[in-house]
Amino acid sequence: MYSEEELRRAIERHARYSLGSAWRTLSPEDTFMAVSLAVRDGLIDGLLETERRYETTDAKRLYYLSMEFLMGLALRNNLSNLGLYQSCREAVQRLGGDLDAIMEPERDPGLGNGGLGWLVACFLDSLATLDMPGYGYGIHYEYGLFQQHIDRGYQRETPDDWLEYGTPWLIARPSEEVLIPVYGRIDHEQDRHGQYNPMWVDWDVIIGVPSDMPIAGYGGRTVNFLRLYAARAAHEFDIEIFNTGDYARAVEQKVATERISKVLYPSDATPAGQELRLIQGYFFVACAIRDIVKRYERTHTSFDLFPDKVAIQLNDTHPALAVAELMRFLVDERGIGWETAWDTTRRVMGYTNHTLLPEALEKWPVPLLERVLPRHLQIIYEIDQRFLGQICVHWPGDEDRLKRMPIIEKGTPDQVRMAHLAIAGSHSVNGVAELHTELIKHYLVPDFFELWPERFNNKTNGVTPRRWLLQANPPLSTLISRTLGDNWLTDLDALAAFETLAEDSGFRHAFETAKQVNKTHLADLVRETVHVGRSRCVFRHAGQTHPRIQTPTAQRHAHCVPVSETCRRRRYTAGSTRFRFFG
Amino acid sequence: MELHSETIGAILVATYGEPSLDASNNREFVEGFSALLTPGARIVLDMSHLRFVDSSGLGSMMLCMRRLKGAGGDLKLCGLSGSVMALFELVRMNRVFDIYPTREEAIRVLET
Repeated sequence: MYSEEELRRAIERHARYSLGSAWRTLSPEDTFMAVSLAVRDGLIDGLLETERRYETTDAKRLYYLSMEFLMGLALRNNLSNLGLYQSCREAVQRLGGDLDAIMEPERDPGLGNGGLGWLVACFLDSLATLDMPGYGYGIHYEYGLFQQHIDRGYQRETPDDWLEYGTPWLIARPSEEVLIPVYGRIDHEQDRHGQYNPMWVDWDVIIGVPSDMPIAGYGGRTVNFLRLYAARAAHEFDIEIFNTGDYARAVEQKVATERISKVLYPSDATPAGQELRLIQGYFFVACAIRDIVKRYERTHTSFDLFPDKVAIQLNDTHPALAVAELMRFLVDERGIGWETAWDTTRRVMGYTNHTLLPEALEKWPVPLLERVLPRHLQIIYEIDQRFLGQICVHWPGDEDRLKRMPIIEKGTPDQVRMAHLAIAGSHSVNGVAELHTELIKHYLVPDFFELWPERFNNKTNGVTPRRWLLQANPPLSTLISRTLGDNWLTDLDALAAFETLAEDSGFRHAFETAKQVNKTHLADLVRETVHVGRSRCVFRHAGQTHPRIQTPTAQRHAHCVPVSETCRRRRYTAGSTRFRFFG
Repeated sequence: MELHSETIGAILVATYGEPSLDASNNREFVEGFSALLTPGARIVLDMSHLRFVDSSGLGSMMLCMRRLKGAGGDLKLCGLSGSVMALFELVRMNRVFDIYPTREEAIRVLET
């Protein structure tokens, strides 16, 4: 990896040739950019070397499909994982700068919302640290969820323009764009051999343009990537309409298409918003499947080995259309028979359930799917028909199960249950905590558990200690490393050695001091940002809860209630302004 | 819209010279192709210059093929780029058209 001198030269080179300025004249944003681009050089070297290694061994690759990725600030993380933190600090010092100040302008990528996004970011980090070929696939949102401002005690929301100054972490790959059809109808035709050939016609096309964010594992041996797709229109504008002077209508198609990757989680309170959400989910899984298949076909001539070389993980139900899309691809584009295609799809897909709340399990109205994705709806009906046959064989005459289990839920209108599609189309279904998984089995989808008990398993989720302790909590991580060494960074069980220090007064004092430093730092931050003094702050954790469900989030909430109750009593007696911190 | 044609033996080879076939030029394409139609014509349509086709472009190609077949003729396509071929496969039109990598192969098949 780079020495201090090599880094310094790279920073100066990027200041001059990438940004067109001398180092000393750069704005804070450009200074951050120059340092980040120098670090990115190291990431790219690692990326290419890692890919060469995977290709040589024909490694099985895991693709994590997720609507959101909350990657966090990357400069500190990349320096830490590449082992460049100290040399970069020195290089910047030699140039007359301060690394902490240089990191300040970095914007959190607006690619995620909450826990689900944090966890998938940590998965990608851990996969790279374990030298495993694991990749993320998602949407290149132009705007994040929203920027939060507190105005006289109320939240005000403004667009989260996280790309305002650009980002050094995304490598554009326009030559790898893919064409994705949407809308249209099915023509029930015959092919040239007289066989039934449902042709998808009158579609619109969306162009998916990928950019890659390198993901370095701790130690820097492996650099994987997160591939994000932006939606682009096939044509910038309609020149004929433009020349008539109707400029707004001339760019109508472009605006409509590019809306797909405009913002994370657009409101789905209206039919238009619901349609946009559906298209977002379809757009990124269709791009991902095309890319995954293209990579596989570089070195394989048949799909016999596809499940041995490819694993696709569905992060919640948002990417569940991947089941129908892979089936469509195998059957329509590669001419593989239904049974073989279904076996291949099921062996490739895995589904992670994150929520038990019925309202959070996606359902799409059949008329909407028919209009937006007519061929996929046909395929979902075929999957459902065959699934119903299985139910009838397993539970002859059980009308209740025939109502509860199908993928298509009867109603006005009929709806497609995406969780049922994901479970039927996956070989593995996991919850994210022991209790959560038990509730999936016995409360959420007990019929499916009875039918396929071998598919259900638990994968307790968690965060990487590199991001959430080493970088997020320097006082405590410094104390741990000074006391126990650095093993805990890749083996968290090493922290068990703390137990032997439980009665060590010197260590306990140092531990308490580290906590106090952080509390003081947070209180100062709150004072600077929302102008509230320490005595007026109430710290409270909160999360979703449900009377019948005990998820880890709900447990955390319950655990914190006594604390917040205590704080509330104090607040009322002090008569101070109410501030709550949700996390 | 460029659609050049030449006769090789009993085969008419038409070369579409545009990089795109979409809503902006599909009508001209149909008109140009229709002008080449004669009863029983055997035509190779060389699309090697084509880089982008949308659903209206594919629709116009379907229309041309149906007209030619209706006139007792035969059509072979050749020279489709990777991205255009991918779209044909995506909407299952590769099962309707006879497609060959090169014009020589398409001509040879039509001649036999």
